[in-house]
Amino acid sequence: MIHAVATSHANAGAEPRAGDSVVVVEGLSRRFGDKTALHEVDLVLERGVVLGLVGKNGAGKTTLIQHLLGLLRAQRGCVRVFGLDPAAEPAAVLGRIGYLAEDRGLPGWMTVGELMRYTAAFYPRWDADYATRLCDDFQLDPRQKIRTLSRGQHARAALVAALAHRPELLLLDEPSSGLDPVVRRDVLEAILHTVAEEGRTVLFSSHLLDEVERMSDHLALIDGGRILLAGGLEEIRERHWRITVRAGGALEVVVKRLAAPGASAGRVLAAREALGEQTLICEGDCDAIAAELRQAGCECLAHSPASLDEIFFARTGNDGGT
Amino acid sequence: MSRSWSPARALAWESLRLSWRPVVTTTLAWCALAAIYRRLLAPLGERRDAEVFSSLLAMMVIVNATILLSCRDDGVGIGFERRLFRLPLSTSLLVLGRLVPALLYVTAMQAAVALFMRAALGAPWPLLGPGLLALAVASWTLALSWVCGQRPLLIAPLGVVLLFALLTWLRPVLRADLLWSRLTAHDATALVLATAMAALVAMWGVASSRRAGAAAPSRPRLARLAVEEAVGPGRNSAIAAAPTTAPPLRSAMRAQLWMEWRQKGRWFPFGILLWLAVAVGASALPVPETGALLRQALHDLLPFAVLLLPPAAGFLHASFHLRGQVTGIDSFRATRPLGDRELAHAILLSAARTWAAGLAATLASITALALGLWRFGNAARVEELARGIADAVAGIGAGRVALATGLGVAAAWAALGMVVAITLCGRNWLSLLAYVVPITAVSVIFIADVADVDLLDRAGPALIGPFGVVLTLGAAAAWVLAVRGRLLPLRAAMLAALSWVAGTVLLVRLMPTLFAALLVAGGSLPGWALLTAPGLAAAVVMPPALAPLALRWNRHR
Repeated sequence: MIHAVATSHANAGAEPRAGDSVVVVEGLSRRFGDKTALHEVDLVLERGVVLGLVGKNGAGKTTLIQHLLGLLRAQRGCVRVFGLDPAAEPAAVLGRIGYLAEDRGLPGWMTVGELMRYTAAFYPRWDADYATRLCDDFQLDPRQKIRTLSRGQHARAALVAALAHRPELLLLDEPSSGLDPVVRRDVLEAILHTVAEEGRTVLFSSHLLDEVERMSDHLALIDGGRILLAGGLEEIRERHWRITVRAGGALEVVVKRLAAPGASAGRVLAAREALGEQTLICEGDCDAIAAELRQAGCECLAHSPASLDEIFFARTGNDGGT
Repeated sequence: MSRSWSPARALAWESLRLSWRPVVTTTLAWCALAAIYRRLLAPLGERRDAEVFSSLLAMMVIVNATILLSCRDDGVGIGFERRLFRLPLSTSLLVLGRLVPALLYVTAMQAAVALFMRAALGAPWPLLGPGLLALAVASWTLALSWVCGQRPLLIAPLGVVLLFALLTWLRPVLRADLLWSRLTAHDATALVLATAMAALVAMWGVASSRRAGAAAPSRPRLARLAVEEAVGPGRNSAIAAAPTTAPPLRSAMRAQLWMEWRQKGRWFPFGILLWLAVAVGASALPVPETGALLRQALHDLLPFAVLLLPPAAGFLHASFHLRGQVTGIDSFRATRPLGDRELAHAILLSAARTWAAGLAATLASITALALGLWRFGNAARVEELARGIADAVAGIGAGRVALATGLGVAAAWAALGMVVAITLCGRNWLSLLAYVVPITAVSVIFIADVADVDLLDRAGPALIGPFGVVLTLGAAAAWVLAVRGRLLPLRAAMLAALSWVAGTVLLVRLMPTLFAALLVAGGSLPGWALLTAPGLAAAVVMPPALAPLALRWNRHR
């Protein structure tokens, strides 16, 4: 089965495996001065997986991607991409990766045509017909200088350069950052098309949850340099619930008990009160949590699967987390 | 910075903060340069002090003005910083907030240099004339760069027009008094008015840019529009008609060399030509006789070009962020699927090619200058010079000249390679240390010379030996690390070791002969100077190993 595993050491549910893994990160830590950018990160990305790396600005998404590209050397832990250390063997690793940087970073003095000609020289598997087709679809004029392109066209040109050598692994750092809805759709569709047709492995970072929901089959939630949650999207959805209870009584005491780590049946991640009702975002067995609430004299009004937004806010502590 | 500062005060503070480092560095550099001239060149009796100092002064005024262009946070140099348009200040205050601190620095620099020249070198260096000239040139340079922000290509023609106007006005003044010690009230008024005029022009230009708002997309060329109209409006027509004649780049290394040359290298010869034009113009200022210009250009500019070109080419290629304060490698280059060795060697080779192109441009321009003067009325002077060169070559011996040329090329390669490697590290503190320490050392030597303390004779044996040993050990360490880090094969290291041995033997044999033939006629090289031979040979073989190590340190942080 194709799957991704991404856990922090604290709640490691599975050991990283190296079988058909494209990316294996073990115990990766990184500090910039006093600031911890990554802390004991484990991540396994297997072939064909589309993993959405979600987190706030400064959560550590770009730092993690830079380690995978070999731009940062692991201070602690290890990073392997295609079984190789990207910092020690950049050519072997980067030759199999298509990378789209958040700031794109293309040289403005090149024309689009020159960018394609230059990039093609690095990749034996460069597909000139595919590049031309993508340029055509994206309305990119080969004679136009990169610096004169609009932000959307700039992103499209960068995407063509990243996709046309048919990379085994696509690393996309905030691919739709700052783009209008039309360009965003184009970019995402091109990526989805690549994934659907060729079964590429993709790791993309984003803080747009709808984008992650649409594109990825696996998700890793990163915050403060730690991976808080990782797994298949469906599996994550099935594990998280929204329970609405009437406020009052012993609710506060029960919620505190259920929010404590190690609670048996399930765990309350966040609670928010409005109009005399309290909405709890819970992880685990929904029925068991509801039973415990009822046992404490609370009235459960409704329960349903939590949305990705709610899970994100609850996990990152931005939802009045308990 | 206090929060209660007004925008105008904050702007002035920022301007002062951005300007101090380059301006102070330039001041120190000019003092050292003046000392070199005074102690080494003036005693040769080629020219009078007045001419030497006037030439220096003119160069200082120009360099002083151009260095101000980089005193901004983005380092772009052309156009007024757009982010400042958001400040709640009138355009005149914005302009003055940038212009006045810059001119204050210019004044302080002129005063510092004048004080040094008078007190330390005993030179009759004037203050008022050069100071006012520096203010006028600096203010016009800044004004032009701000006015032409939207149309950078206008700077060159406007700058040339202004330079010629300045030269035309200055020549009669300087004929009367080379050092401007008797500046008339009329001349001083003219310079002050020129400075004020520059401020007004700057305000007008910045106001225009501010009114224009955000940068509009570049206008398509008329010819292109006409072609597209003829072909048809379809979006694919442009793509279909796009020229695809450029042959594919056959390898990653070739692609990287192409990129380095296209992005940086090809501009270098043009920059050299521009610099030479300015320098020759500045040199021409104090020379009353036009015919003396060529001799002066050959005497002063060629050695400087030869000495400065390799480090300049190396720095240009190894600096990835010319437009910013960040020195680390850019993400685009860093993510090319190219090994550290290949990427570093591509940069090194491109820098060497750029240096060669710059040198060719220098030689071509000097030859063109010589031919031009020979054709248009100064044939005797040129012929005399040509005879002098031929006699000198015959006297030294063609073989020795060829050897000296070869050694010069090797030395240029070593200098270029060291600068590339240091800059490729991408660490500000290291770059600062690497450039400041040698400059300081040279300055100390010459200042000691000025003070009649023969530092080289006293400390030479103690310093030169360890210097040679450090260079040799450094090269050995670089090669060992590169081989152990699988950046270079063992056979390359063996070849480097053999080259080092051969180079050392060659240098030990040649140094005394060349010293006597080229530097001090009939003199003998001190024995301790031979200790530098292993170090110099090591410096030549070091770059191929040091550059990949430096890049690896920068690329994988």
